[in-house]
Amino acid sequence: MPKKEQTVKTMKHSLEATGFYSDASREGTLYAVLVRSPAATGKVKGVTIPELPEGYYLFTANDIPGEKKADINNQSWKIFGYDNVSYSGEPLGILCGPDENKVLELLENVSVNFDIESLESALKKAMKHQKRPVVKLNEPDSDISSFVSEINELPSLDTVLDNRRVEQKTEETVASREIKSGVFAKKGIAQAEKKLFSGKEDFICEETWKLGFLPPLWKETCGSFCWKDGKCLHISAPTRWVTHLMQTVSSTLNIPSENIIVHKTKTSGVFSKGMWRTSILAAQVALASYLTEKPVKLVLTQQEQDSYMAPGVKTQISYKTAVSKEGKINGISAFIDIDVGCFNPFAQEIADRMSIVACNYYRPKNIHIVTKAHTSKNPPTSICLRGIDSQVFFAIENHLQKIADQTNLLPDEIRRINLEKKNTDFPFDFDSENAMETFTKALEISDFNRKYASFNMDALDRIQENSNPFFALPLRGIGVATAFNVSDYYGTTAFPADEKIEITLFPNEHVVIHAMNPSQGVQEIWKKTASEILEIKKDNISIDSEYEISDLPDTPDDAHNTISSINELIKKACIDLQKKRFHQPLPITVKKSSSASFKKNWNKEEFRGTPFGPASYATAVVEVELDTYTYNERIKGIWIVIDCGELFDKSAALRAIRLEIQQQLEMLVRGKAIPCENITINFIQTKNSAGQIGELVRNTLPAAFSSALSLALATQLTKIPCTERQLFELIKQRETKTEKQEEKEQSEQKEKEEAKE
Amino acid sequence: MNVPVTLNGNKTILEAPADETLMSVLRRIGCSSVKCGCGQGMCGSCTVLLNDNPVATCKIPLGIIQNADIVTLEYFERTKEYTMIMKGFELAGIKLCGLCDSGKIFSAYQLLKLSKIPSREEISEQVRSLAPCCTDMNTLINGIILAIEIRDKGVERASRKAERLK
Repeated sequence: MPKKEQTVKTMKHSLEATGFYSDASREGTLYAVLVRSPAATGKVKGVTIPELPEGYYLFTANDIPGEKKADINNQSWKIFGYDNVSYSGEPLGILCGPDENKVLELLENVSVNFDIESLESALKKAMKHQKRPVVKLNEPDSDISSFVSEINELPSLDTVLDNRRVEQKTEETVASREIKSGVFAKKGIAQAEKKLFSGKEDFICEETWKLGFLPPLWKETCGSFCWKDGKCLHISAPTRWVTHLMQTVSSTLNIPSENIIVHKTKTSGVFSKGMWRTSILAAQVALASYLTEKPVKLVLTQQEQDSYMAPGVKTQISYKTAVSKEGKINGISAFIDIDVGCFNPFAQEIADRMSIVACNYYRPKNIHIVTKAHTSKNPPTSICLRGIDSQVFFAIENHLQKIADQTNLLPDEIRRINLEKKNTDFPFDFDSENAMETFTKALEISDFNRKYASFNMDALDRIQENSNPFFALPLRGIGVATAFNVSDYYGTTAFPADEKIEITLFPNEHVVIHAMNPSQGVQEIWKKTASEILEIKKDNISIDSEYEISDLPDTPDDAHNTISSINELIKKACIDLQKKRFHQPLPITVKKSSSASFKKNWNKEEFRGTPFGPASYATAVVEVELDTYTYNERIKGIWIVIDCGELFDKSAALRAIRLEIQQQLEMLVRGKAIPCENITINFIQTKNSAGQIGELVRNTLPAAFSSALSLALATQLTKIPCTERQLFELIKQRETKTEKQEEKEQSEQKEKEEAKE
Repeated sequence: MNVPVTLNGNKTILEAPADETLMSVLRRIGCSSVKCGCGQGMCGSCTVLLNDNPVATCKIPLGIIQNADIVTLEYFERTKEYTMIMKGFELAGIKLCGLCDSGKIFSAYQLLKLSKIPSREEISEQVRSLAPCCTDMNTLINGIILAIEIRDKGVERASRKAERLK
């Protein structure tokens, strides 16, 4: 066997996140703020400040020595806004100086000058919504009547404006996906819709669903700290995509990437939506630091974070289903509308992922899914690689609940019937057996069916009697939702799943795993795996995430599935090492990378097959109680059953799930965290490959909660996060509806009696 | 405004406008354990000990703390209570993220100071509003219980209790 050449790497960039950028400090630091556009449309002529004291600086796009735009996934976006503004709040410049308070004072004096175009655009927009009023006189023969008629005859402003200079397109479709099967594919959409939804089916169920996002307040806001040290430019930023940040800064400042040193700082794993926008922010701060040759720090305010960085894509999902009286979904027509803000380089990826999970793992015979991602005048958005599917799971699981309501079947029955694997024409192949197991177990431990029947009867009584819930006992409801979480998405992704690891065993029995640095919990799992196979103490195993610049992974951290695929690679590498260690001189290094074999089942061109690697499954049941006096929700119990394949560390997994539940409970109702003392988490242990557990709670809990609340309110809650007012209005609407129905029934009966007479 | 205080055992004068929050003043002078979290006095990231009581500094204007005794986490790390708390947290499996450390550690200290052993409910009441950024409430309560166990019965007994709590 040829002997492998051992080389010692020149370590340059660590991908281990340490500390917080906002804590970093150096002598002579300048504090920066962003100058933002006050308008959503218009052409910027200039950004000026009447007087800038010594030591204070204002830089705009004109000061950029290199590229004014950054490349992201084969598209580009401005570092600083220039020419036409894209959204209200777009950064047009950076203002910095030694005194933080003085910088804020100076920001008030910065003026952004717009071309006449902006005025015309604004007027045009205003006119779209408001017609010019026509003045009418009570006395037609009054003295001013001729003057009034002259005013009324004046040409409309609409006709005076120069339309060539008005921004025409504010909304543009940037990505789409259409999936058809069954009768939709065979007979065309119009005919299929006619066949399925024209009333032949027993039930037609239609609804639109929305799952919003409440940004947590306990995260460090985005920003960056940059300083120059000789030739090198140091950047401290909470990035999860180091290579992109380096490339962006390098092209903006026109300096080689070797001269840029990125100090990766900690980020909150919860819905990290920075990605490419963190790189743009870093480039803005790097520009200020590079031009002033001083350390510069920019920390976004909480308000800036909430308005410009936190919001993700806004999705509205409409379903129309044709259901038989047995509960079988014969046809499903879905429209997914995604507002990606003014720019999102990953719109296609988002549209594809949402289309794939639009039916969860149910297999209706006939499906038609249309997904459209369009731009708007909202801030640009990024992709949240983890939790990307949660909005769709929320919609489909709530829709199933609505079907159960309409058909008077148990949610349990509806799901079981539609999980049957008879449909071979279904474009995607998911394994749903494990899902069924979690489902059965969750219903059993929560006593779901009994509670559901009881609460449903109570709700029906309330509707029939039209009793006023305001003076009633607390309203109760129970809801269930089931979902999966995938690893290794093979679709049309911008981030191919090509994991690589390297393990070296040294003569002193020290083992180094060279891979992208995962969370503490995952590190422990890797060490445990290696220690068991190599029979070496866990303390002798370390993880190294230092890369040479040329070896840095091109993809963001989130694109690496640390549990499922990498742990498998570690296992394989350790088995190899174990075989070699007694036959070869140490140190020995073994490299492993993910094979392409399991991607074979995915047909990218036809968009069919198995688009994911191993999945993990979860079912959540939530029981809620709503106080009818205070409108305070109380969760009486949460039961979650998870199948994530091989479980490496049960107590760590339990802690992770409990934490995610607690985080989710802060995002269900605006302005308050809902308490819950009774949380039951069960794991179904199988020998399947380990799957990610991270997003299972986000994919199931909101849907289970809203289903439960809908049952308690005896009406349909279609939006989360909800508010007290929303619940109040829903109850009111239901009451008015019931009253109208009663009146209608009474009048119909009267008519019948009269006819008889 | 010049405000005389004792900061981490040293008498010093804090210089800032009277309405500026204690959090921004402390951060400016380099106390990086005081983090900027929710800014609403809820999440606990900006907690310090003010006259031996944990307070959220984002809600304290500098003007009202004349002659107060302020202890930040940097200084508290030298105490034996800190060692007990961290050992308790370790036994419970807590790995703090760095952003919320002061809120969680000082809340534990507040309970550790009590002469009686607090119940699970009492601990839960104390830590309810803290940021759930890295540790769920159940595990945090376990960590505090184990810190109290270490104080009263030593590390060995606490380790055995940790196994039971898991």
